[in-house]
Amino acid sequence: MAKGIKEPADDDDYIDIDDTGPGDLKGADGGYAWEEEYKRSWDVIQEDASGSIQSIVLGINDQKRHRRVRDTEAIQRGIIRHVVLIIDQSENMNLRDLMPTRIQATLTMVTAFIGEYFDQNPISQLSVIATKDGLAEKLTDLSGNPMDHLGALKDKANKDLAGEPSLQNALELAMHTLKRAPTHGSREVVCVMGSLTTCDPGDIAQTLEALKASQVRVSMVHLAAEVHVFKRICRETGGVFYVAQNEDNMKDLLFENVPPPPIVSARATADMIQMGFPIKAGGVPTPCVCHHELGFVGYICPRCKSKVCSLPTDCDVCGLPLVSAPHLARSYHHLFPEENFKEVGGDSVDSACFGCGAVWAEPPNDTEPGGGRGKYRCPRCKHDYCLECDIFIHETLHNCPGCV
Amino acid sequence: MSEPLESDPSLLVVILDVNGWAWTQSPLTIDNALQQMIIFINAYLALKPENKLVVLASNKRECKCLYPADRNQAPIERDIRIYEQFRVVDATVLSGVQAMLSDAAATMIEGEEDEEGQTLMSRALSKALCHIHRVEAESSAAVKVWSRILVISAADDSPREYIALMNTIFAAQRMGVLIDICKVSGKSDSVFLQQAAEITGGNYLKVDTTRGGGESMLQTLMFTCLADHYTREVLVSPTSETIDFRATCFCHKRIVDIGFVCSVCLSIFCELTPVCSTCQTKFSFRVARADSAAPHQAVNGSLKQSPKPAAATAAMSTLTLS
Repeated sequence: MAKGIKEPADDDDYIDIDDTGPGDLKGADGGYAWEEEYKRSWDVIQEDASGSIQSIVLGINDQKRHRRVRDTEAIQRGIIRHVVLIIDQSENMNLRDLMPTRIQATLTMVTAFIGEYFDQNPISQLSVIATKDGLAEKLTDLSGNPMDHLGALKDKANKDLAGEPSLQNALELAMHTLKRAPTHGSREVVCVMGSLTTCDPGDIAQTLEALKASQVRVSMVHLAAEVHVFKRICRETGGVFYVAQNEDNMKDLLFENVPPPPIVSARATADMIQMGFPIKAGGVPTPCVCHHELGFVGYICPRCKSKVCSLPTDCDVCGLPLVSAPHLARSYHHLFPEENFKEVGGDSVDSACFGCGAVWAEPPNDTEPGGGRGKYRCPRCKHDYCLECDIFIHETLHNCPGCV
Repeated sequence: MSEPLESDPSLLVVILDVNGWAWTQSPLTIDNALQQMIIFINAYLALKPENKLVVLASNKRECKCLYPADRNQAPIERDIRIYEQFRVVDATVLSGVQAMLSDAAATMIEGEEDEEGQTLMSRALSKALCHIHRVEAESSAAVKVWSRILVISAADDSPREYIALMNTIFAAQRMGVLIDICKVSGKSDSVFLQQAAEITGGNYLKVDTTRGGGESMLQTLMFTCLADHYTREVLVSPTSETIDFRATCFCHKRIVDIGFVCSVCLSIFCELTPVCSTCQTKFSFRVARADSAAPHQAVNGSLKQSPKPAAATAAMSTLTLS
């Protein structure tokens, strides 16, 4: 598996294994490697001085939360993205190893992904392709409106599963979709696959060459296992291949595709993009050009004076991308990312978390290296934060309260 | 996100601007404003026993949490005639503001810094969101706490805060936090805070001190900011004139209808330039047309404008939306 293999811990809280198997499968302390994840949680729980188990339960929850350490260099990123999302709708997606079924879990995650994608990349575009019965079908064309994609995913017909998937067909269709994307934007494919096979009409190696030639980056989250051809396609196009362990892990892996990837220098062309900043229309209800419905609220395209009902979008009449200035501001945090905080022990200048004002849970412990767990220091302003604030600052706020 | 219920408790974070210089410019004195704010806070706490309160104070140098205060502070003496919580809140907030004002006065005498009418608003809002996040993470799943922020602002916008302020506004929007703005200073509207209210769905109120004397602030707060998420759905909030979300270009500070945006750093220009003055990217000589299927429009490459990096970096931070 590509990610998340647990380090063997040094305590002995594991279920005892009586049978003796082949030695190379054994983990660090005698159990099988795959059993190391299961601890006897009831042994860990002990009452504290006041007879409460709340603190230990909080501690266990803290261990489950992990900080994602991000790349914080100010590198050039493709802010304007074109992503094709490929969803496997073969019979293999009916398996119940992810709850309730693989396809249901996938659709839930993909729905969340689409919301997050457009939240973080407001001027980017997305298209959804489904593959089943050896064919690929485009559910939505490249569009900047999340409602289009969410509507298509809700459609009942798109939840029927049949036959084998065809990765080649899906990639060819994705390439065809992305051909229209301008060169200053990125071209990406994100696949969610549950099948260990692909049923292709031709040589998928040729498709791989074509993908490389047209600079498409393919990333994949697989729900079952590593498959050589899938991994090779991802690796050679500059993407990443992950295998999801469970629902939470799958969400993390899929959401790694939300922030824009760094630009490969070979094709970094920059353009000036013509964009319209429309004025809000009000007063009398008028029909919009996008849904042909009467409404009070709308935005007037500055070029052709037609009315659209939401931003950001492309004008349906003249095709001008319409945005408002806050949409552009929303992408700035990708360009100036917040630095990762360092976990520190010992004394600190702050008597409490600098963000939320929570008093440190345990007194700083100098005897043990790395003691005083749960303090994270910003390298720039030297203020300390609790774990909760650290995650919040890096995932939602994108501002260090001490640095601004 | 689920719908707010009548029984759901609220969390109110009050951010008080204690920039002494800015208050001297305002028609309302800080004493008067503080009195009215405390009456408002007491009214808020009296509405529902579960209601939670955080008070932050910010000037141009620091941002402090006044309530809930540190544990090691001196206990406040009891007075049986006043409801305990009111007394604690009132005393902690007042002493905190006093301490900050005297600190600021002390540093001003020895320091040679020229006094500016700007406040660390993005830091205060960031801290407010951290507090809200902490309370929401700690509250049980059964009871949803609805949070909002009230900013009592006297100072002017600081242009270099633009990006940080926008980040906090979007974070608040994602968390479903309303930001109400009560602008006291009489001179100009705060463009940034207006956007904060507009994007998060809060109210932007400008206290009218010309009519009704100093007490109009309390009235305004009581009528518009006391309502929780549930009540606001049935109330008609005071309308502000719609905010123009058009952008100003970085090169000439003109308001643009149709602008040219650098694909790398998203700077806005009103005309074609060969090099982006913000990020120094050289553009290929063509304009990406809106309809990407169409062939790229060729542009005559005889532009000779030289980039002005220093001016443009300043412009990057002053991207205002009139």
